[in-house]
Amino acid sequence: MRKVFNHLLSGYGALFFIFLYAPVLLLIAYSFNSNPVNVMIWKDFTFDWYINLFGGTTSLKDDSAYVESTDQLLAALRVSLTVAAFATVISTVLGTSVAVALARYRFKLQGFYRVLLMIPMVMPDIVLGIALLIFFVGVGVNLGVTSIVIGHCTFLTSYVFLVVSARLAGMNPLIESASADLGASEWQTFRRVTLPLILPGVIGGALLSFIISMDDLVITYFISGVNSTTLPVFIMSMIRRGVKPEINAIATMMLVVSVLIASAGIYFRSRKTDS
Amino acid sequence: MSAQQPSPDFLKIKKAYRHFVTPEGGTVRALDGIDLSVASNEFITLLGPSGCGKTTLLNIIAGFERLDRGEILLAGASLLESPPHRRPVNTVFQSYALFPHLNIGDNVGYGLDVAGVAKKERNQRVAEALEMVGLSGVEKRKPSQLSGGQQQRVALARAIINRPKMLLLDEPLSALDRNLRGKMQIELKNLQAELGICFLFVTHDQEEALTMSDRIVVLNQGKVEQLGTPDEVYHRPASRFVTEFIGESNIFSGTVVESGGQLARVNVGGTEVVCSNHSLRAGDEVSLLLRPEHFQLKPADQVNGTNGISAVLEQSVFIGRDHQLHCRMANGQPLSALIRSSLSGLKPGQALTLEYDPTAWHVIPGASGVGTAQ
Ligand SMILES: Nc1ncnc2c1ncn2[C@@H]1O[C@H](COP(=O)(O)OP(=O)(O)O)[C@@H](O)[C@H]1O
Ligand SMILES: [Mg+2]
Repeated sequence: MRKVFNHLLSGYGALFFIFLYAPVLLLIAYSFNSNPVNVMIWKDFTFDWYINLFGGTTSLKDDSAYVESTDQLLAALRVSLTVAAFATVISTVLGTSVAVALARYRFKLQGFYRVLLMIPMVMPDIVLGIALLIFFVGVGVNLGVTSIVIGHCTFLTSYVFLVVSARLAGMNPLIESASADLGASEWQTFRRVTLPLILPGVIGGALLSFIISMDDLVITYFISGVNSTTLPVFIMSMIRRGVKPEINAIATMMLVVSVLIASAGIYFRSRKTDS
Repeated sequence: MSAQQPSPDFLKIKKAYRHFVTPEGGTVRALDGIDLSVASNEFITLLGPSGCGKTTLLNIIAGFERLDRGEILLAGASLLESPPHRRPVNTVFQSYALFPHLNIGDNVGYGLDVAGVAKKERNQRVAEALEMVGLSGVEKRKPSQLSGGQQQRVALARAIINRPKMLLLDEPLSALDRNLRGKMQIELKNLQAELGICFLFVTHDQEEALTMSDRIVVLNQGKVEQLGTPDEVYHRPASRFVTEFIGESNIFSGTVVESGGQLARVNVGGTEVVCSNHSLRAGDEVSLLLRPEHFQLKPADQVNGTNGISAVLEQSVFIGRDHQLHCRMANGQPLSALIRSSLSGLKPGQALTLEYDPTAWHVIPGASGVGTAQ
């Protein structure tokens, strides 16, 4: 009886992971499908979609691909990377500072500030997107890379704050007292003790920000200008013209990069300070 | 280290008050008017139960807490205005608080590194400090690779490397096992003598305080109950609290029946006890204290009657050299005595007479035992 139950449980576990990952695996598989008309009918194995994306010559007919030129795709990628880089640096600095301030100093309305910092993460993207659009138009900021960076920072700061706060909460505050006791000024203590100890959290938060920024569609959709399309927005606009296998190839590449960055993030977050 | 004349008022704490508001909204008086003078070469111990304000006092001297009111002077200058990193005192924390990301050499050298001491001198002083605490050759290891006792030594080396004028130690030995603790007690005492600086040592362990200190400050609920040498605190406790906290003691409340000349007779719930007369008058309420080791057990036929208490033995426990006797007096009160093991062979239920020297009783006026000893 016990044995049967264990088998059922293992089966359920397997089904659960199939449910989670089958769509993604299918997407990867079909990115190598040579059928240009119907994405879901397997014809032959081919690298053509990848080659085509990078501007190589293939046996594909012209109208079977969306991307008129690789330049467009690369331009969108460049915007995405630029935005992600700036937004990550800014929100990592802001998120880390505010996490340290809230963890180490006592002041009025502390709990309230903490809640304020969490709200952007739970706020519906569409609300934040529209709000930012109205704000930028109202204030007179031209939509473009700058507006996207500012927009991304509003919610990325929250993620960094969350990750770094968790790290700070696990740190013995007496260690900082010991540093001060031995003659270190507040800045020296931060540089030599606090920062090295929370660094895994800071790096983890930065990597998380980078992925979220690269991935964001809804908010970016509202605040990106005509000449500043990010990769997700670009892909979205392609799909309006029908789903073609090429999209699978782009998605697969994004997936690989995301998984790499996420793994690095998890590695840094869980890393022991003294290893 | 220095040949200077020790100054008796090196650290001066004047009317120090500090209260905390508890999460439930109540008030805790962590320091309730502390006055204290400490000499520049003294090993002084703050002794008291958990929560009596010991850590708070250390934190205020180190600069991690502020005072509500009061003043703290070190070598004549007020400490309270300087931030922690500018105070010439260093701390050994209860949990050691070593820097987990730095190796032992960098932990110990931290104070010199932030002060910008040149590398050559720095390395030499690190080696010296580690040698002083008996822990050479571990510079490259991480704190997590050391045992509790070794971490304790690192914390000590780290704290003395800046050559502070005063070392604050917050229950530094409480996490160590018994044997190691005994060893470290001696080493700490030697280190203090060697450095010739003031150690302000915190413990809740009365035995530790008695072994190590030049003087002991007994704290209770933010107040100084008694300040004195280990001998004074043990043999002449200033209050019932001190008596109960320090060592085991028999404490009886009674009424003076008759006093005259050298001795007084006190009625303790029906049992009569003779003690020295400290200008007592008939009818006064007093508390009488006697350490268990001050009772003697005589064979029944040798008792001279007046200076003995009759009691029934309930239990006899062998504790090494001595037997601890748990007895009950005729009036029902418990009584404890330490008796040489050679006199054993006693059985529970046996009636005993325990003799005492009347002058050994410590008399505190008032039934509650608060007040000053005579
Ligand atoms: N930061 C604080 N907030 C509230 N109460 C505190 C704080 N620090 C200490 N206390 C209270 O003050 C009293 C003395 O604490 P402490 O000095 O740590 O005692 P000890 O070190 O003698 O055990 C305790 O009742 C403790 O609960
Ligand atoms: Mg304490």
